Amino acid sequence: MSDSLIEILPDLWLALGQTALMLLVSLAASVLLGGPLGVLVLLTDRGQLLQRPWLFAVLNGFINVVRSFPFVILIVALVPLTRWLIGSSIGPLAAAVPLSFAAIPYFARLVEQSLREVPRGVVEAAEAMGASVPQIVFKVLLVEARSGLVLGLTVMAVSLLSYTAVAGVVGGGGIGDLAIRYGYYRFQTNVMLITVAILVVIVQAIQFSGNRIAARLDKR
Amino acid sequence: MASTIGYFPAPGALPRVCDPRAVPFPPPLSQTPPMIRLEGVAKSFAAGPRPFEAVAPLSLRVGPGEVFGIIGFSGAGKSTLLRLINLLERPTAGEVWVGGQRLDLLGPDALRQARRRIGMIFQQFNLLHNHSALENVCFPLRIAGLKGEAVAARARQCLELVGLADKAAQYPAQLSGGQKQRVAIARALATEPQVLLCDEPTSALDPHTTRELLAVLRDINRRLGVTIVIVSHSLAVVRALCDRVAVMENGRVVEELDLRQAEPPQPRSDAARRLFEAV
Repeated sequence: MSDSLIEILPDLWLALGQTALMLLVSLAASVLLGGPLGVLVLLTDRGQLLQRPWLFAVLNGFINVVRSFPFVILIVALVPLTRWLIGSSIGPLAAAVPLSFAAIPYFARLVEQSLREVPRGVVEAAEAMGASVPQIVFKVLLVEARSGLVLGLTVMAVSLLSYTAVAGVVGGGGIGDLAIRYGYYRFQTNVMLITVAILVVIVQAIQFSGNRIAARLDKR
Repeated sequence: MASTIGYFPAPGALPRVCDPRAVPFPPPLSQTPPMIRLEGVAKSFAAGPRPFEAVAPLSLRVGPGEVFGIIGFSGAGKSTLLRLINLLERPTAGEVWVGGQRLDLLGPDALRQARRRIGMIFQQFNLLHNHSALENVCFPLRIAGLKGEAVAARARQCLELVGLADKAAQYPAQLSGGQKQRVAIARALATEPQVLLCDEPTSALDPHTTRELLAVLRDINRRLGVTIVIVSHSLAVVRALCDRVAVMENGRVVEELDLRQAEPPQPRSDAARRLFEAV
């Protein structure tokens, strides 16, 4: 057992780095693009501050369509986009493209849900005080929903971690890919167990810190 | 904060009575021009084939410094009428004048400016839960563009006014219902409004806390001269606080009573009689 472990140690470090890269890129993309998308889809819904039924239908439809794709199919379908963006369709950075593409509508939906839970009356009070829509978004909605947003991000980070394993299909590498290649294809049960154990630890760490941060932010 | 619209005095200047020069056409009917003037306002909601008329066309005047009550049973349209005053509900007809300014014709920016001169408190307090009491009171000042030391100083002053100076650092979850409503009052007063709108402010509070809160409102009215409009289904609340009261039923004001008279009011309408008997 120790032999096979020492043998894969360099691979393991590499895989950890690849997983971290894929996760960070897709998390950043989801927050930067999915966050605003989530805010917009909420604001354009009926009875909301920027009510625009047709825009809501388009955004809401886009989110649902992208979320319907099985991830493997999304990876393949996005190969042209990935090539155009990264210049290659293999490797961890290339895998981060479909990963981000899946993460953006996912996070948008989570943001929309969290913001919906801010009581209508609180928004109304801000309106009565003369707050503008951007002020309501940044100083009321996002502040009041912040612990829910952190929990949403946590849930998504865990999902993305398991998606990174699938990204092995396009040579994305990462821990999950290591588990599949060594553990599954080469019947090295030890390696598979180790890598799965590492994944379990990572998931625990993500969830634990997410819960901690959310609890600290929540004054309700 | 610069005085943004001609009519309203700069905060801190505090002339609490209407400036007669600023009152536009038509000329006032009484000696003191009204602080709030509703002319033929109506609000109907689209509901099925026939629109539901929440407020039938009605006119109302509230003088500067007056405490005006709107009373009625549930669904009478009281809250809708109140929300027409700061345009949280857009009237489907009529004119809304506050402080000599016609609000229903204002564009979004001008309306936001005007709203900073109209405070509002709610039945459910509607405080920001992730903000401390002090930060809640700072909020309207910050969105008005004020920055720096002055904001917190003014907020502290307002918390003192409602007797909560010692609770500045507490979060709403750590406060009682009555304290939350007092924070809401401090927040509503932060931008030195001329008008305070109160939407069932005591309905979520017990009788003792209600009395305390009414004392705070009365004190504010006397000390600052703020015009108060209060919606309530409780005659006791209205009697304890108001100079005049409008009785509403089915979206109409069926009667206006003056409570400043020495003799008890003689309600003529059915709705008013039922309310007065229910005490």
